[in-house]
Amino acid sequence: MLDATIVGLGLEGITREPTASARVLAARAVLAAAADAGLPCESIDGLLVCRSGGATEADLGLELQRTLSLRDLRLLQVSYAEGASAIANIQLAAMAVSHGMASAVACVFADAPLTPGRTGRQAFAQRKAAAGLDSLRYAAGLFGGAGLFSLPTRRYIDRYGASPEDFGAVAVTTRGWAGLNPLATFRQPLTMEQYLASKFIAEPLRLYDCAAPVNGAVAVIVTRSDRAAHLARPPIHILGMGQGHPGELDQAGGDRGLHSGAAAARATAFRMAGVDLSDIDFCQFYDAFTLLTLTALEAYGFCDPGEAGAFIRSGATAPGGALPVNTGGGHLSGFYLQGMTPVAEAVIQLRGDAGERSCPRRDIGLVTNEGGQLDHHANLVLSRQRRAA
Amino acid sequence: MTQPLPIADELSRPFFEALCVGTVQLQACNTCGAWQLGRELCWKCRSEDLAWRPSGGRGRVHAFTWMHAVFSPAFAALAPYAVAQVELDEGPRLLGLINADAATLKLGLRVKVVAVEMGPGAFAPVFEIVGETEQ
Ligand SMILES: [Zn+2]
Repeated sequence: MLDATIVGLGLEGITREPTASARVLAARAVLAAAADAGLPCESIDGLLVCRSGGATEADLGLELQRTLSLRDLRLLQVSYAEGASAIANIQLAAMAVSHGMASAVACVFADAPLTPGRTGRQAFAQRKAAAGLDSLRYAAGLFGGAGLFSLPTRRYIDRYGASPEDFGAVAVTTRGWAGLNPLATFRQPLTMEQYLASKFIAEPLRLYDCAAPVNGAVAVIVTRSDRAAHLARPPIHILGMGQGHPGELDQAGGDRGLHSGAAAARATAFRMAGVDLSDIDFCQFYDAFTLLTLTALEAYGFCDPGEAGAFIRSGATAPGGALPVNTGGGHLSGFYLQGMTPVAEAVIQLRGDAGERSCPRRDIGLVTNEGGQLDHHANLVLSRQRRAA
Repeated sequence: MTQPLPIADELSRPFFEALCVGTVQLQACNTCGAWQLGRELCWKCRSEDLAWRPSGGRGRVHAFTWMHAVFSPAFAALAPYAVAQVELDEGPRLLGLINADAATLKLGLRVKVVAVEMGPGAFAPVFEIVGETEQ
């Protein structure tokens, strides 16, 4: 039986400016999360680390244990499932504390792509040492996540007849939430006219369809509920969790980039949690590109395929709407700390710390991560109560 | 940043060697006949008994994008330029630049693969439109 709660949250140095290294940011976030929980650092006995695909073990890895002077850990690893790594680590932490393998596990992600003299685009253009067929992408000038995601975005438009306004509604709505979040990177209002007039990055993707790089770190502390009862902050219970990895091939018949593992992950997590769609009070999706908000709403069943644009244009996911989505501004306008961005916002909402952006109903939240070209999906069903009401 | 060049690796060497002489080669499974590109095992039956065979070098546009932003100075003079993911008639999908104009490029167009030398001895597939969309 799963018995795991998030008891500490640490957010560190989220900025568009150069900062300390990813490892130092990660260390500060872990210390902040422990302090938030009211736990001495010495009581952390598990450390699960993940990093950006562009970073290396030297940037952030197992050495974080020694950076933090954490002795005699009972659980330590670096996990990699692309954008799904952060939730995958929290899932592992939840299982570890449930079964007594560790009692207080810190899960941390940090990234520091912005350094003096390097722009965001240069950070995203950085290509891994690609050889073989992977090198064709760069030889063809298909750079960045924007280049990659423009391909399935084109197919989504072709398949469903989606309009620029469908994607614009994601960007404008998400910016509306960011305006209510002091932590968000881009808070000034965005209009549909501004969205439509913005330059193309990789057409059909415009500037506002894409998240921008930031430096920063987020850590959470996971413990069992009995341990949580004696700590500083109200525990946020992990009721259910799942993953889905479609394994679509770049071959005829493959639907890579549009077929998410979300539906599979939903079935696992909702069964574990004993909830259905109507129990979900808000969603925090992985939204590095506007397409991902549309596909997540559809894959989870909040909308029929191809209908998410109309759903968002109706205001349903905006402040005051029936299904608040990405209430901190998501990746697009909040901050792009990959899988930890939606986790952090869900914890803030469920704790009641979201101020003027608080969701009217906030008992149960759905949090998702999406990695690769919709290759890796992971989720959490989080709640203020131990069991779903 | 200089022009990013295609680089062969062990799994793709016959593909790139074929491009150097203007042809396209793909892997065919000796067990089940399925076509693929750059894999260790057959995608369909998981056999390791694979052989390189000539492809017709034709396919259709599965997806495409117009790259406007200049991520690499090597592409500055070209932007905006079109990149296509082409599904070859045998099944595998391939990425490359496509010669097209904005008014006519669309999904489903028939294309052929042309090998273009991007740097000394480094050939990449570039797509030329040969016909209209087919159903
Ligand atoms: Zn076979």
